[in-house]
Amino acid sequence: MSMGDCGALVKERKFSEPMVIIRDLHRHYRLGNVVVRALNGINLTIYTGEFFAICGSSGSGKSTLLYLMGGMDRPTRGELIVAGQNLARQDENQLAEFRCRRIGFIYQNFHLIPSLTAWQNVEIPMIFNHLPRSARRQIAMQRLQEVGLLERSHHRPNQLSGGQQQRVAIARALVNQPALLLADEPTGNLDNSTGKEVVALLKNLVSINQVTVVMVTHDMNLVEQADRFVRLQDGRIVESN
Amino acid sequence: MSILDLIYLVRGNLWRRKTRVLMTLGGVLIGSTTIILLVALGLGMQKNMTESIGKIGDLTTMTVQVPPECTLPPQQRPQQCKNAILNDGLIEKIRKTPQVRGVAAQVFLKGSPTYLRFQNMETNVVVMGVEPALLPSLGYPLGRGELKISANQVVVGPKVAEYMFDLRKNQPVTPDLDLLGAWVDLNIQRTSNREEADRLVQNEVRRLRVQVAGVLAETGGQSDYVIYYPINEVERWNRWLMGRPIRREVDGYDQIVVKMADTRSSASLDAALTSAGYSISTARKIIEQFNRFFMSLQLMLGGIGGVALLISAFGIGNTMIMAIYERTREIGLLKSLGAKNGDIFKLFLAEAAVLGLLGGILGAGLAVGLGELANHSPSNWFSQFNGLMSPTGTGIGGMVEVAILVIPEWLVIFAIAFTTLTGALAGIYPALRAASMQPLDALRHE
Ligand SMILES: Nc1ncnc2c1ncn2[C@@H]1O[C@H](COP(=O)(O)OP(=O)(O)OP(=O)(O)O)[C@@H](O)[C@H]1O
Ligand SMILES: [Mg+2]
Repeated sequence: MSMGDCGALVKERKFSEPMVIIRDLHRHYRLGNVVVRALNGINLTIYTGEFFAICGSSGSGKSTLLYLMGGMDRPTRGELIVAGQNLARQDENQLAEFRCRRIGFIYQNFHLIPSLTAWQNVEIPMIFNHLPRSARRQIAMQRLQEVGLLERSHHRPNQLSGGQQQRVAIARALVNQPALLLADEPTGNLDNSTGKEVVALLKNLVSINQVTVVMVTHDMNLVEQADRFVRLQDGRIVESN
Repeated sequence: MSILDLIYLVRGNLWRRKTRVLMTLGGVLIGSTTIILLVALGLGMQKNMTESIGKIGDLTTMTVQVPPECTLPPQQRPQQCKNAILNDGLIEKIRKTPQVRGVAAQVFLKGSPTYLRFQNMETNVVVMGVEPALLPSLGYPLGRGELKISANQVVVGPKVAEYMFDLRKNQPVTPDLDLLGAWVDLNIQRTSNREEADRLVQNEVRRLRVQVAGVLAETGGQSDYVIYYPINEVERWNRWLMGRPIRREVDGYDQIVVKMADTRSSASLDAALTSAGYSISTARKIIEQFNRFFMSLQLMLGGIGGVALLISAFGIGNTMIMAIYERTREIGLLKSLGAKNGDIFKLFLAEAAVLGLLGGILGAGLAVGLGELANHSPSNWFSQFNGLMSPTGTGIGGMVEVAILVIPEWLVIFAIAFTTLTGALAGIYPALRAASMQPLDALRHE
């Protein structure tokens, strides 16, 4: 797949409220005497309601950028404001709170807990959000119905197909009604058609739930479906629209 | 995260690693069973011993004596013995103390030794002189007959003739004699050194023929082995035995027995007499001493059990460390889903504590079961051991039904609380490790 294609489509910006504001963002790793500049001065604004794509070659810093937006990591320097919160200035507990209420994560390898059933996996974020047990079960079932897996609610991950597992993960990501959904190559472990289905589902759900989505992907078809995109190379944005 | 949510998550986490959890529980189980059984063994010994001592004497009966150094010949006695004399003045003083039910002087027959002769059998005995009118007031339990004695009558303890020597067969025997109403001989002898006749030692023997008027009930104590005889007779024969008149005002009586209305007043009289320089023995004092001994025994046994539990604590710690290595990615995932460091800490600490709790409960169950088994097994070999442990002379070990292991509720509760605490302590370090992981590093851990 040629990365040069990933900016083929330009779409009109229809949104005004910024969800993510990034100014001169750096993330450096020290490995002995070598400094790896995973992010090297990123400037970016993502607006509420956008379906935003990040593409770029392997090692270009896509995941690093995504996890910084989700409060999973701290920038070396620069400004990082997500959903109105300045993440560079938050302590660990505040970041946990932020992840719990504002962010939904979707991963390439699903990250479901193998010993828990589908609905129990969906339930977990609500435990940390202090929802009572009865409400948790009801909401989990509702979310599973929305992703079309209600009848699979008592199955464990190893009894589900990859696409089904990713749909459980989507239900889990949306369960605390986050403002921002962060997906790191959500179709990377799925075949083409399943990937397409999952992305269609994702788009549908986010438009219903009015969530902003930032998705890291290699897949040009997905980039085409995004409202906007940026392309990273060596920790910098080299292309955007 | 609420307690209920914590329990919910911990249950799930433990359930999915059943094998390892069971192995860990096995370790804790052994620790808690050991601790309970060892302490229970100590408590069982203590109970048996206390019961034995309880039989030696009523807790309200005390025996007043002078300290050992005051029994030396008058010239050699230390100064302070001047005031500690067991005379009639002291008896009067004690009699006037409130709550005193009975008080009597007692004097040993100083034959060395005194032999009881019945039919063709003989045994050595302790003959105690007591005022006949006062005998019933001293709290000795009467078995059969009467507590009334006259000049040629005695009241005997139930075990006086338990072991005898058969002179005809020339061997020891254990006859089952009923002495009530029987006439027996008390043989005493005095040894006198004569200067003349080449320093020949000459023995003179006297035979006192007495009738048994009453037999005491068995108490397991001193009175089981004593023959009570009127004090006048004992005094008379003591004069003959020692070859000189006895001056009670100087020498005092051998002991004074006091019977009190209740244990509290006996404790206060005890204190008063002790400070006046007398030596008091009561069953209560012996029990206190034994309790002190058993307290240290308890601590020692508990300590050994504690070591067993310490080992199982390492088991829990190890299981938890393994868990955090295995579940690093899961910890990262939980953090990405909004778990705070405190939540992760609580989760792992609770898991370790629950391992301790479950192991403790199982161990307590096993210990209680084993305790039942040991106490109710028909041929409990332990009773011999307990017999060894009972006070010398009472000889009741092995004959009475004994509880080998005493497991009170507090011990079970304490053991379970202790294993839970141990589990939690063993879980602190792994839980801290888990809680302080960087979310992204943990999530990407291979
Ligand atoms: N914990 C770390 N320590 C050191 N270097 C790191 C660490 N995490 C990422 N990097 C480096 O930062 C750079 C960007 O990594 P990142 O994971 O963001 O790439 P990516 O664009 O997501 O790549 P891919 O498409 O392969 O997932 C890489 O060179 C990587 O080696
Ligand atoms: Mg990546």
